[in-house]
Amino acid sequence: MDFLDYSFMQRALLSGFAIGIVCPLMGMFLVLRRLSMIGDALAHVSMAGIATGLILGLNPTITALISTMTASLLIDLLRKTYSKFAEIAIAIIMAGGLGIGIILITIGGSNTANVMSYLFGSIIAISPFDLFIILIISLIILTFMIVFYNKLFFIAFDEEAARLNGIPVNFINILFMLLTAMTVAVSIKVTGILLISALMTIPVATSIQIARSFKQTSFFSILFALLSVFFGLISSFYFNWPPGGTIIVISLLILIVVLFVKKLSRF
Amino acid sequence: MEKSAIYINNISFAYPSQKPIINNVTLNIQKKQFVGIFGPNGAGKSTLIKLILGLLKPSRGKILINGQALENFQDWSKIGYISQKAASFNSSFPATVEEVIAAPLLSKSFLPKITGNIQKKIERALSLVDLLSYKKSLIGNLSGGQQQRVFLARTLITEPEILILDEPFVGIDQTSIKLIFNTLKELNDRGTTIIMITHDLRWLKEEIDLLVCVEKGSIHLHCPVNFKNHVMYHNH
Repeated sequence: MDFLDYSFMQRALLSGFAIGIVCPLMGMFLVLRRLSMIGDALAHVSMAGIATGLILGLNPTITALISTMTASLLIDLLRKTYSKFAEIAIAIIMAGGLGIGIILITIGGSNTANVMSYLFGSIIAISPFDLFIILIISLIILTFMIVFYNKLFFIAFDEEAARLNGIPVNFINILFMLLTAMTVAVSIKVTGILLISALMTIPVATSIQIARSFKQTSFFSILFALLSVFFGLISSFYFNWPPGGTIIVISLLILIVVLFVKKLSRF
Repeated sequence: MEKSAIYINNISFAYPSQKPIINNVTLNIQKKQFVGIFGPNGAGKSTLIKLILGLLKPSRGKILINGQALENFQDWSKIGYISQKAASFNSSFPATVEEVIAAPLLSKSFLPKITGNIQKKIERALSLVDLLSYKKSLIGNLSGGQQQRVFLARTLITEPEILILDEPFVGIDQTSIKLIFNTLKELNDRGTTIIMITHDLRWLKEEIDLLVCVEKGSIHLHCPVNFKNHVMYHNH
């Protein structure tokens, strides 16, 4: 447990636990509503936000938060414009965010030199202020999820019936999109831009294989994400691997084990 | 209008830059009536229901529910609706029958816990559709007919005064059809107004109080004569 002697590791673990709870919780509803690509699109947009922060000397987590939240509202707007091809909205925003991000990184020169740590995550890059932001925002997301959990379940299962039961579906959908953007922004430091959506989807995909109810799906999704984050960060510390990749490889290993055990149990 | 459950007064509806789907329709559905809405596919039956439910806005005319103008009507828990799409949900959705049925009641509270009172209501609704033993099963593991019965139970849990079903028997087994129809009859005997849409006359039996025939275009369609009462309207 010598890794706990290092304050950067303490911050990485605390941040990791926070995103290990909120990522699968938000991801569960994205997966079940077949919107898992939104996490990926917002992550790509966050690159433009981070580059802006680095160029202007502002905290990149804050600028990423602004860019992803704006993009989430734009996706919602575009989905209404292209109501028959809703996934086009995700592709447009993803391409736009990535394009702007690449230009900003190029013109940023030395200011944007350490952008790699944002692409793949870094356990040493989480400052005390970053940790503060991650914990506060995770708390906001968690509060929303507790308050709206039952409503989100009803909307994910049958949006029309939920609407007829008086649930303010449009309002909750916009709030949910904003909170997905916040989840993406606070996860960047730990998992990196390229792998955020994996932490939102793989633990959920694993959980669906064994859960016998929606409540169990929530529980197992969080459990698998927390295990992946914990062992991913420790492996990252000892082997000097980027935390994002390590976390995702561990979550994939859990998925493979679960699939294998499930297959074996059928014989 | 005192006994009127749903009163539709001269409504019309058309999607933007398209021919009207509903044209000058007037219909009075009394409380406690069992009403069948019959017509071929594309006749405008589902559009009529969506107008009643406020999911679409009529371009002309007025709709009253329990004597109240639709735009002022708030108590939607009194209206139960099973859509055509209900049975085409994502069958790998990881939810139990119990969780699906409890959704309308739990969505009014913060806690995901099913309390004693809600548990009793779930069991009563499941008994009505003869699925009590499937309470803890994943909904995706049930047959199409059983799933449709779960959706009926979910609608019944709020004890609606008016129950609207859009093609409830499409693609489901005979046992489930018989069971659903008997449940509807039992509910109707206890005072629930039932409105059932179908394109198949086999499901409209003698028990029906009123048959509404919806027809698109100018072809004349005759409602079967052996029904006690029928109303016809045509969309031109």
